[in-house]
Amino acid sequence: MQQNPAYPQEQMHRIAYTQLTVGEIDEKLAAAADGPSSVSVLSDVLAGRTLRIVTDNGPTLGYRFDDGRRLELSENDGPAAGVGYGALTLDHVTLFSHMVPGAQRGYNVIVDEDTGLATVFEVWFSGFVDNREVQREVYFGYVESGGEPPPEARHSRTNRVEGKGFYWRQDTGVETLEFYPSTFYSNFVELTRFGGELGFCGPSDYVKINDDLYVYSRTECEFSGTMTLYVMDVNRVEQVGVRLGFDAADALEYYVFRGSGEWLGQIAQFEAFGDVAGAAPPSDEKGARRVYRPMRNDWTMTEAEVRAVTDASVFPGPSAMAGNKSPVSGFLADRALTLRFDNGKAVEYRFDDIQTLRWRWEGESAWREQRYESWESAPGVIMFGHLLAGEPDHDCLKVVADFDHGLATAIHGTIGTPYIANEAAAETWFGVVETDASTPPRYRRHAFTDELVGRALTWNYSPGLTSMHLYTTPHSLSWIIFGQDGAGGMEWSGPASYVKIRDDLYLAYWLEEACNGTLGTILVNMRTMHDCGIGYSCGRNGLRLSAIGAHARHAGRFDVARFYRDRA
Amino acid sequence: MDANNRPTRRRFLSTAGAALSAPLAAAGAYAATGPEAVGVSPDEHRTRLEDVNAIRALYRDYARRVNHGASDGAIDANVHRLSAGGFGEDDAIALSPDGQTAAGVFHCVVHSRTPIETDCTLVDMARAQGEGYVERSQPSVIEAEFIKEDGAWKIRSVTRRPA
Repeated sequence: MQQNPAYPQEQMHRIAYTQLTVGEIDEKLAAAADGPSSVSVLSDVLAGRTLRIVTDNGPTLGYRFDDGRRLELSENDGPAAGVGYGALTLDHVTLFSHMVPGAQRGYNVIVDEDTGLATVFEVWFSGFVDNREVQREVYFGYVESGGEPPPEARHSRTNRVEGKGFYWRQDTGVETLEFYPSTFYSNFVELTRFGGELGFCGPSDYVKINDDLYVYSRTECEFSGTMTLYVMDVNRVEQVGVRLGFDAADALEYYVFRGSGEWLGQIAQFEAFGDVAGAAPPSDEKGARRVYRPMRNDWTMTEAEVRAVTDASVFPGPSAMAGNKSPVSGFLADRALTLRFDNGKAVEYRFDDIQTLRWRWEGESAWREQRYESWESAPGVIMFGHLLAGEPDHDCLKVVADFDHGLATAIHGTIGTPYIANEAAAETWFGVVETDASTPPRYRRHAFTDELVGRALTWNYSPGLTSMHLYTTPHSLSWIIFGQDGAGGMEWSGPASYVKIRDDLYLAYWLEEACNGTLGTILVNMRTMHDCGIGYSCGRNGLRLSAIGAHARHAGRFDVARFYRDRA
Repeated sequence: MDANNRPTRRRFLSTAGAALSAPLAAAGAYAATGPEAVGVSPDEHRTRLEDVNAIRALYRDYARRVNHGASDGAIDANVHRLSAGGFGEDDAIALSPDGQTAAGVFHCVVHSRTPIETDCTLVDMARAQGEGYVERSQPSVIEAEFIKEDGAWKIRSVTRRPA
C-alpha cells in the first residue's frame, strides 16, 4: 500500500520544465548506450538468440543478443551496431528496450513468444518544438521464422482497455493510480512522486495482445515529456515496462520495471455494442497523435491587461454549455438575507427580482447591484452566482444555500494566480443563511467530502457537446471528450474540490489551471442526474460569468478514495 | 407528333417511375427513357440517352466534389457528405425539347456538421480531436438545372430542400 508521499515544490502543471536543446539531449542520452537500468533482475531469455522482426509499414529489425545486456541491431538489413538493452518478461511476452547507437532514438519491442507476433514502439527525441518530449510510432509485425510464411494476425489498437483503472506499484517503489477512460488518452495520479494530490493526463496508446495482455503507453506531453510504456496483464494485474525521458531536474530516466497492483474497477464505455476498435492515429505522418496543448493557445494576459478589463458578460443568452440548464428559479426574488461565513465575511442581500440583486459587506451602507441567476437544484437548495463589482480581483461569488437547514457554502472566485494573471483561483467559504424568519445552526456546516471521488459522470450540455467527469482525487477532476462514435477521446484535468450539501447532492468546482483559466462550479444532483452551475473566466473579451447545465449519466466508480485518506 | 406519343407528365411518370417536382413538371420537360415515351427518332433518342447519362455523371461528380469539401450556394460549408437517398428510383432527369437544357431531381441524404459556436475548453478539445460540431443527417432533394454549352453539359443552378 501507498508509502508516505513526497510532495514536490510544484505540481506537474506548474513546473517550468527546461527547454532542452538537441545538444543537451545528446549529452544526456550518452548514458542510455548501456541500456536501461532495472531494479528487478533483467531477463536473459533473449541471450544468445537472433531475431528478425518484420513490421508492416515500418522497419525490419535484425537482432543478435550477445547476452542479457548487449545486442547488435541491424535496421532494414543495414550495418549492425552494438548497444545495451534490458529485457523483462511477463508470461509469454518479452519486452526489451534499447536506444540506437549515436542517435536520439530507440526501440521498445514487445514479442509474444507464443504467437510470434511483435509490436514495436520506435521512440525519439527532438521531434517536436519541445525537444524533451518523447515521440513514438507504433508498428505491428512478427518475428520471422525461417521458411515459415508470415502470420496473418497482428497485435492491434483496441478500446478493450477503455474504462479500466489500476493501482500500480513498481519495483522502484513508485506507486500510481492509472485510469484509462479514453481510447487515446489516460489519466495518472502519482502517489509517491507527486504526493497523489492531482491527476494528470497524457496521450496514450492501447494495443491488444490477447484478452488478458495489453500494451499501454503514455507520454507526459506539455509536462516533462517522459514516456511510460508497459505490458500489463489485466487479469493478474502485473506489468513490465519501460520509462524514458528527463525528470524535473533534467536527469535522464531510462529504466525498465516490473510491477503489480490492484484492479480499481471498470467504468462504462459508450461505443456501440460490438465496437472494439482502437483509436486510429490522426494521420499517416510518422509519430502522429492527438495531443491537447492548451498553453500554446495564446490565451494568457498580463497583469496590466487584466487590471484594464472593464467588460463583463454576466449570464448572457443561450450557450452550448447550458443547453440543458434548469429553469431560472424565482425562489430568491423579493427575499432579504445575510450569508455569514466562518472566515468572518458576511454578505447582506436584497433580491429585487429573479435576476437582479443588491449586496453589500456587512457594515457597509451602500448597496451594489448585480445581475444574478439562480436554480433550485433540490427542494430548498438554491445555487446562485454574481460578480462582486468593486472588489479588487474581478471577484465573484457562487453560492449554494440550503434554506431548509440554514447552511450556505460559497466559492469565492478571483482572477489572477502567481502563475497566470488571468487564471481564476477559488476559495471555499462555509457558513450559514440568516433571515428574519429562521435561526441558523451554530456548529453544523457543509463539509468537504470524498464521496464523489472515483466516480465518473457523463454530462450532456447540448447537442454534440458531451463530456465525462472523472473525479480522480479529492483535489482534482478530469474531463474527457467523447468522439462521434462514443469512444472516450481527448482528456485533461485540473485541481478541484468537493463539498457535500446533502445526501446525493454535491458542490464541485474545478480550476482549469494552465489550461484556459476557467473556474467551473457545479451543483451535482445524483438523484435527478442534472446539474446547475456557473463558469467564471477572464479573457481578452472581458470577464465572463455564465450558466452551466447538463444532463448526467452515471458511468461507474473506481474504488480509490481509500488511497487518499491520511493514515497514522 | 400525335396525341399518342406526345410527351405528357402522365406519360413521363409512367415510364420513368419518378415523381417530379412542380417546377420541373411546369417546364414541360420530358425524359428520354424510351422512344415510345418521347416520340423521337432512334438517333435523337440515343443522343438524349447520352445526354441523360452525361448529366447523371455530372451530378455524381458534383456529389463527389461535395464529399471532398466543395461547397456552393445550395450545399453550404457545413455539409460534409451526400449519400444516396435510396436506389435512385425517385430520381429524374428531364431534357427540354430542344435538348439544350435539363432539370434533375435527385434524392439524397445530406450529412452536415454545424460547428458548435462556443468558446470553451470542451469545444476546444473536441476541435483538437477533429470534432466540435453537431452532426445531422437530413433526407433531402437536390434540384439542379443543367445547360449544354459547346456540346458539354454544365450545372447552371442547384437548390436543396428537405425531402
